[in-house]
Amino acid sequence: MSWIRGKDVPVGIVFICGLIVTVAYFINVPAVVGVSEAIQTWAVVIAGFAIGLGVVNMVVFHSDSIRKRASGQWPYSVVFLVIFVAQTVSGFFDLAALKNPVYVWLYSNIFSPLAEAMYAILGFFIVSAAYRAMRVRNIETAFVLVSGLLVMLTNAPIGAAIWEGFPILGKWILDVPTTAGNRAIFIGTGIGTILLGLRILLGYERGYIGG
Amino acid sequence: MGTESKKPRSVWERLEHMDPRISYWLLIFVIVVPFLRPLGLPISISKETQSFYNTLDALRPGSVVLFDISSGPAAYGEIGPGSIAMMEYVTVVYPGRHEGGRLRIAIVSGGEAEGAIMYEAYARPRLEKAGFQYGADYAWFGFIAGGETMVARLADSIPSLLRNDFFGTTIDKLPVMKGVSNYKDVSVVIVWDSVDATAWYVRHWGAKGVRVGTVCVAVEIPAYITFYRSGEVFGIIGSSRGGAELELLVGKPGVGVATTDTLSTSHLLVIILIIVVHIGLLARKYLPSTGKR
Repeated sequence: MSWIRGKDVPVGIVFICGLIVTVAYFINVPAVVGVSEAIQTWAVVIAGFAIGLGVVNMVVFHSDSIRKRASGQWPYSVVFLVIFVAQTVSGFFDLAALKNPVYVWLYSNIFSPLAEAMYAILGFFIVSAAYRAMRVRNIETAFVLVSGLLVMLTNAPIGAAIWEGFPILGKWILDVPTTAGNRAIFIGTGIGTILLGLRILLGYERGYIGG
Repeated sequence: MGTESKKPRSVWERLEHMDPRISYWLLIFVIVVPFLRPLGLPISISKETQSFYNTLDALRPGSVVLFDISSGPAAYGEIGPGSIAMMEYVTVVYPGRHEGGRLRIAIVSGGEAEGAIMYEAYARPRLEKAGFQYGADYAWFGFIAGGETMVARLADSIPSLLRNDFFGTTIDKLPVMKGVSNYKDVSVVIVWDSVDATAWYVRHWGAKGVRVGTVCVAVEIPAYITFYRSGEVFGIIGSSRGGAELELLVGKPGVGVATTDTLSTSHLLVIILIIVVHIGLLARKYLPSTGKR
């Protein structure tokens, strides 16, 4: 039964599922389309289970961290588990969990401000990174710098207040060179995705099952 | 090496290698001041925002709008103004301009589990306040896992994934979902997006002819302008600036307009810092007494 523990079975499952979904996309054969739709629905269900698995993994990891008194880590693990239990229990108490006052209080007064603060800190890093990284060293960096400045002056109303031409130039950069560059990236990504998909279907790429 | 680090720096070197903490304090200053003394700079309406508004306004009453909340509170600073203005338009302005007719709204959260909280905080209160009836005018289906696969499946068969709403009511008992079976029955999709979910809908709904609009964070704008230029995205409410524009179109200036002055001052600060650093860079390079390296 060693073949069950090997990687040929999952690779075979991936090949069959991938082939069915791909064929159903291009050829409208009701039987194949039906199977393809069932596979996609399973994928959604499995994704739901994956979230549950992630939760279990987090709990196990942090429980271990506390049990082993991991240096510099375990106090944060305690905080995680306390918040995790409080949030989960308060959510389960009320079927319309989002209206449970404890749940809403925890979310509104702990998670939400922390999440917004983390995001807001980015602004400070962007400012310091902008003036340290955007330096003219050659003609290419000059283009990047000038384009960046023009787009900034387009996005901020003060650009138009300084000179009405700034938004016109900035919009042109977004509409023409940026769009052209993005399309090239999208096409390249698309071709790369097709090739990666083929490699996965044919079993050459096995990173998703541990190499 | 140690000797070199102890050598006093010239003014130009100090300019070129400015302590980041100075920029942090300056940033706090230029953010706070406009709140105390607003500049009131005029805000022009971009064609992406105008198109977003016009497309929604052209929908006939009773049209089905699939509304995906794929963002959490972290991105509220960017998405909040546009989200609130959009809800104001859907719940108040649209019925006012269409003889009381309403859009039918199906709400899911496809890219972000925290969308549930965003729904509770910013969508449901405004729908209820405007007298929208749950089940008849709108329905909430909660977070559905699966990302892009879910979006693809939803296009083909809405009842197969949205069998029950968030509260367990089966879809056939929700009048708002009557006759809605797949992408053909949905007029437009709107995504509150901080996780690239708009691109999922462009690939699986836009490719089938459904128009997609987005309220997105700033870093997503360049990619979505590409979709806008090709006609796959009908409008973009980009970050707080786009939100401010929509607030003006809707006729209810709010937090977006209030924060647009800080957008101006903070961007101006970055530009000034870049210029200052380059003065130091050029001076050190071309002035002989500044210790060219």
